[in-house]
Amino acid sequence: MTKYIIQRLIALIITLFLIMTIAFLVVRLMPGSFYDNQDLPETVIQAINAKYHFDKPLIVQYFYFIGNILHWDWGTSIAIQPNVPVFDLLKTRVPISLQINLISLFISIPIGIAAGSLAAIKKNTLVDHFISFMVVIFISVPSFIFATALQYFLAYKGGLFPIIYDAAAAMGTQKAMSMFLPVMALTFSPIARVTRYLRAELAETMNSEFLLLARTKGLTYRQAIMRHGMRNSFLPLANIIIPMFTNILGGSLVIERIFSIPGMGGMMIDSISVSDHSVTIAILMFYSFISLVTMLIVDISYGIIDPRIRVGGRK
Amino acid sequence: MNKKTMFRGILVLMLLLMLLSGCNNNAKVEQQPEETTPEEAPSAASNVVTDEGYGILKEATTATVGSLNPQTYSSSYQSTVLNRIAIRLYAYLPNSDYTSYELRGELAEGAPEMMDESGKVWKIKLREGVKWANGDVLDAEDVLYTFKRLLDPKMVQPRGGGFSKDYIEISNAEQYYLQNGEGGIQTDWEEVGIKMLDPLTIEVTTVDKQSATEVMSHFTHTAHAIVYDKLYEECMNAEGTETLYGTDKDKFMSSGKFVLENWIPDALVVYKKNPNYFEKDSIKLAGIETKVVENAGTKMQLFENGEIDYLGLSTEDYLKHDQDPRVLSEPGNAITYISINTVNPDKPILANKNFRMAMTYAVDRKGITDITKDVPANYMISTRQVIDPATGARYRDTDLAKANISENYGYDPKLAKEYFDKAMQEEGLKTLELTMLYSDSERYKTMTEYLQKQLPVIFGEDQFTLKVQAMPSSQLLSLKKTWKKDPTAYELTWSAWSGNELAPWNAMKYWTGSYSRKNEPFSNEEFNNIWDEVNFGESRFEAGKKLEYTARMEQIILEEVPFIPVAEGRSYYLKSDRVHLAFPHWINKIDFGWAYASIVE
Repeated sequence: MTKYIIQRLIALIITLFLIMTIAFLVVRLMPGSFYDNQDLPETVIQAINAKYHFDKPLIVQYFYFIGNILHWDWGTSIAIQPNVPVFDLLKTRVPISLQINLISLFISIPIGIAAGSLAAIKKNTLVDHFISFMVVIFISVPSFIFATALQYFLAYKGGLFPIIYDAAAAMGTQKAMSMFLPVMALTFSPIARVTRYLRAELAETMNSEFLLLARTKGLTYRQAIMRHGMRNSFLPLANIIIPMFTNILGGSLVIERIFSIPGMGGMMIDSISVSDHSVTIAILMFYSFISLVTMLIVDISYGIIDPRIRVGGRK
Repeated sequence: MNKKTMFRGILVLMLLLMLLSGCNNNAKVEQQPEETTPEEAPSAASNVVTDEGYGILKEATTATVGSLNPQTYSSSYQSTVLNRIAIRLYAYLPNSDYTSYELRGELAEGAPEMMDESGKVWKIKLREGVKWANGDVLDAEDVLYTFKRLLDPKMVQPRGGGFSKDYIEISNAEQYYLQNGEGGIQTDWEEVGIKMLDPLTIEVTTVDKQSATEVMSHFTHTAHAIVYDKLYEECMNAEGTETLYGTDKDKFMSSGKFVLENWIPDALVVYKKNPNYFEKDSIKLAGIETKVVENAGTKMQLFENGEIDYLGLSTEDYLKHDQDPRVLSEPGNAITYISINTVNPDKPILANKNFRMAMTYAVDRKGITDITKDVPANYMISTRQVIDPATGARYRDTDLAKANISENYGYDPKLAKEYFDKAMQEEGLKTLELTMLYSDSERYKTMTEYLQKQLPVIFGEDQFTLKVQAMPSSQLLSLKKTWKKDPTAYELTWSAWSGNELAPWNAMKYWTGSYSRKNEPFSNEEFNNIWDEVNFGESRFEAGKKLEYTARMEQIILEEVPFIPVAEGRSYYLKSDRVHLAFPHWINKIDFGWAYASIVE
């Protein structure tokens, strides 16, 4: 198992390096320049280019970039927050995005599991039909529609929650209230996905022979479901729950705009539109890192949960 | 799973949630400036202004502030923020009866004093007793330090070029600033035309003869606001090439009308009245709170809930509120026009003046602006541009400017067709297909689609086709500027131009031959000569000459048709009744004067 993990870690580092190289080339070759919105004479542009090595060939710029990364220097922003190290810039935004996303994930999983189990146990009843109907709605309607509707009805019309996120509020009820709607808007899709997946898995498990055997052993219906049915149905759930985190991060870009959350979403778009290349590359690397780590966790957890698919195990 | 295990699980989940919601770096307890209660506060109607002020003006903006370092600022919104919290030598401030602006000293005590007959050496006396927000004295040393850093050859600050040469050219400043670049000449700071004579006096030496108004205007620029030397130095990197000054609320020192109380980038700016400001009685507010809200719908909800005091209206929202007495109208500064790539080798007809004339007469400006709620414009200098900053006289109100405008906003389909047929004959074409690029905003989409329908009707549907293509505005802007390297970059597209509203003659530099970053090819020798004369020639000091030169420059553009002016943008705002503006209407350089407003509960 250790060898397998080491192999996967090496693969992760190589993949990250490749992504970094491609990101650097794509971003630098994109049309547009930091100077486009500035009324700067050509002589000044040349001087600034020389300062940031933009006057050098792309390959030389790439080596400067790699050399800096090896010293954990991600460069400085030139437009979003001029002169601020990119890493410091991310440090202020990442916790806000993570906070919203993690809370929504932790809320959606238990609700999804409960709804999925209930739908499977009450299969083909009114409860199952209602849950399945809600699942279709939650999956097919994009999160920003829910966000807009929640904001309009619960915040603006109902006055139950603040209309926008309160960035200045200290930790407490005020902060929690302002986070409620964005978190809620982000939970609908994961809830639906977990519910749908678990319903299908559990319904299939409930018809399996080993569950029949469990019942014939003398277990009650409830005991058979809880001890054997649930456990077996949970295994494939790992396949969707962990990568779901990456999906939620993507969905939060729009939600952050709607609720004025100063997270990563807005900064990613802004950095591209003002050609702040260092910031764009750093954000791309952040998302890539999160995706690769979640994939690694899925792979490792598979190995732990199901020894049959453990790579590099005993033959 | 037994009940005990389940309970433990819930407990762990709750702890995790609490931990997560506490991991935000910004979640510090901030002392917000509290709105004074009506009982404690003096009545706004009594006109008693206290050092603390009364009421918080609540704003929302789509723009964000990346830095509060005046020397690196880039957006007009950053300029608005900095003009509230940073002091400059001169500024456009309200006149005594709040009917117009005045160009006066902010840190400077009065107008600059001419020290010799040549008009090249100027002495600027500073106010005594001006203080930073921390109580330190702000004097000529700070001013000198600011300008030295602005021109620092190692830092190469983007705003250094404008400081060395704009309204005035400071002697040896550009040479000092660009000395490390290719072909740079080694220059000592002592050679630059800025000196400190005593702790309250600086001396500025210029290359050309200047007027006092020109010297004052030069130092009104936001980038020339004074920085706090101690903090600036503390925030400097080891190589002396970059500073973190102004990148955090603790790395900025206020000195303007307001003091920066809190700043969370991309989220919030909170200001508190500065009781040490030299004209503190002109500020009635206790503070201003600005939230960053990008979604227009969210902004409207905040306004209707009373959480913000005013908001800018989109065309759609304006149509819903056009009869509302709370609507404020701001004249536009930008002229929207059709850029024509006259050097495109694939479409030589674009270089044909008859074709460009045909386009000019074919554009139904009134029809377009009736939809977009802008003002039709067949001119290049907008209505808010002032020709005489001393009197506030607007350029468009003068007879010379009026003479440049043709009837019916230049719309004449019959004449358009005549010019079109002539151009097609000259180019030997039977049919013509052009592509128009537009940025993906609703306004440009509407205007482009209008032309797509209208132009073939005028030129003949069997002869002319207009293809349209949308693209992100930043990409379009870059593409337009590549016409020198790639002449096929575009055929037709939209651009907008806004010059300095108090110096339209200076803003015309965009169309001079030497200006390298314009969107479309245009060069005219007479135009270049006039621009040089109106900005640097001796005759500019003669009465009426600036107007005459400016009108002629506009006339040349309208005759040569390197592009086609279409509309003048207009902005609309919706204001809450609790805000009373000090000015009766929009004023140049002051706008609606939100900073001078008062709150009436």
